[in-house]
Amino acid sequence: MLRVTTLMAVLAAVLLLTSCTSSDADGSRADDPVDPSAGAGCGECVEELAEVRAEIVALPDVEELLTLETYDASPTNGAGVRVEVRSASTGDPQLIDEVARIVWQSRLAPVDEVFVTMEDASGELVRGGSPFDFTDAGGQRAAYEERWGPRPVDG
Amino acid sequence: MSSNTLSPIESVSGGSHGVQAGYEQMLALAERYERHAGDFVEMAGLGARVMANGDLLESSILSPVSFADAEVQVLDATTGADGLTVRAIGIEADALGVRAVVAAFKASDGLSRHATEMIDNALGRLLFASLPVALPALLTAGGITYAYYSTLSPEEQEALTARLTDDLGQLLHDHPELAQHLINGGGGLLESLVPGLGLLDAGDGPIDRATTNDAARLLALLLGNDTAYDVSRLDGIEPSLNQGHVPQSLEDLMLSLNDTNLLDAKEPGHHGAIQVQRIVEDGQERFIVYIPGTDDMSPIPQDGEHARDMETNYQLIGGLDSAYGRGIQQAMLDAGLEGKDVMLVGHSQGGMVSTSLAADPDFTQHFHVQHVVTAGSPTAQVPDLPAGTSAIHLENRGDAVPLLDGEDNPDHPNRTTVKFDEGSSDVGDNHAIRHYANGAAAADASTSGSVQDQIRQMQEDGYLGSGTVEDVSTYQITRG
Repeated sequence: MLRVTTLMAVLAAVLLLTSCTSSDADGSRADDPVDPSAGAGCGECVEELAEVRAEIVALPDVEELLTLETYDASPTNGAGVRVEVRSASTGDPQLIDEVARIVWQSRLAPVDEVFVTMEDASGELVRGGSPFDFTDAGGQRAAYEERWGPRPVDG
Repeated sequence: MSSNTLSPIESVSGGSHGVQAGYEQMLALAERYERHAGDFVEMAGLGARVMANGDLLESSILSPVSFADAEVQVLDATTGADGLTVRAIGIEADALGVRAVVAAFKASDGLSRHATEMIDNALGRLLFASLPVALPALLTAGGITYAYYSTLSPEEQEALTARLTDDLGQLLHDHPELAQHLINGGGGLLESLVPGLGLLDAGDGPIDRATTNDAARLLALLLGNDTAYDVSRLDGIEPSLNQGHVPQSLEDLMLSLNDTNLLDAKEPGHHGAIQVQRIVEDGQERFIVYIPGTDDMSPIPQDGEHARDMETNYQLIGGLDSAYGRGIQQAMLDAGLEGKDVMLVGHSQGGMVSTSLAADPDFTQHFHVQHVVTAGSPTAQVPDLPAGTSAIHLENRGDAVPLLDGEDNPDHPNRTTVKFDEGSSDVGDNHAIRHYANGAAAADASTSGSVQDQIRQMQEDGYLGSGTVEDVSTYQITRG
């Protein structure tokens, strides 16, 4: 009898734990409907992405913008932006910083991290400062602000 | 402006330059000593046999003085005070001494581990036992705190909550060993809560009491311990730029893993996706399997579809089979990897399942797992990997997830653990893959012999630095 009682107590504790903690990092439940306008984010970010796309494509060394996408935070990553570009030249790592600057100065939000991958004209990958950490805790924010100015939006 | 200032490497344990490897080198030295001692004894015996040779004895009549002189010299060289026999005994004693030192060190390591487990178990039991005594005081303190909290404005409440969260995160970052001991006390706590329940399989760990692994096993059993899975190939997914190139470094492996991890961020229906990268050089094939971590963090699975959920985490910590693990095996078979050389690269739960599979004979009978790379994964629950498999475990200080095994990773010659500090007070963020990309870059640049030997082996085995990527395929694993 005691075993059944204790087993029930464990089950109850697990269920209680579930009801208390079954939320994502941002506090939303997995089965809640998504509200793109909620919080400080830009939701679908259609206009913001279009602006960023136009700026990246206009960079002198960009041959082709292969990927530009935002993603939400999950248990394994922060909210962020992923960019893949093909350079027109031998690939100056400065271009990777330029892409990060454009994202920093955009109204895309939330952005905790930015991954930029660049391939040069010969098909080789060029590594630069990516991934970029835009979080307060990351310790890079002040340096970014100093160089690129304050982010126009929170997050 | 880049964020790629290399993270400081805090420690490297295990691997070719680890403690266990040192023990093995010392034992190899003792063996050499013993071989040489044996040679000396044999040579000493040869001297005696030569002197006892009948022809030589007969010829001694011709020159008795010379014979006597030679006899003295030979006997002195073989059985004399500085002779081979005495030297052999000395060398044998040295070998014995080396073996004794290694045995003492190993016993000390075992005792230390046993003591830690016992203390942590007792700590967990104490927590439960002291609860009734401390409950009135805790309730009073909680009531007063709540009364004060309710007088604050919403902004102040938010600021206080943020401050407390930050302080707790900082505590975890500054004292990860504290969290590790608390987690390791989970077995004792649950053992007190469920006395004699019989579900805990106590005794399979280093002590005959319940450990964290037993507690996790109990939770997995309570959730049904399901292992049914479905596997389907996802067509039409182009490899990322990273995945289209042969990785050159540990950092590259992390960046490709990140791209796999983000597949379901772009398309939520792709949860449970893994990717298989086929590298070919001179007709030789190698495969890298990218295995992301937990999608559903709810303690009880929400929809019955996600294979990467908490039930899988409990199963893996508890040393049980999981739907994710079985699904990965089937996906690799579907991809034609039977009998092939493979490297498993996993983050979080993906690293747990990678390590678990690499040690599972049911899995390794199908695939030749040469390397495992884990990032932010608890892996100590897998005590041993086969001799032909090497693993490198990356752990970020302040990331709570790698601490969930409740103990340090085994210090084995084929397992290297690299701890780096990319952490902050934000516990959740410390687990993000971008930190592991930076930590991997720091490991690439590390001068640690264990790390460099591991990377060199990956290069020699054809996973880093050469060949061409011929194909990247994607498979989805869901609960069946």
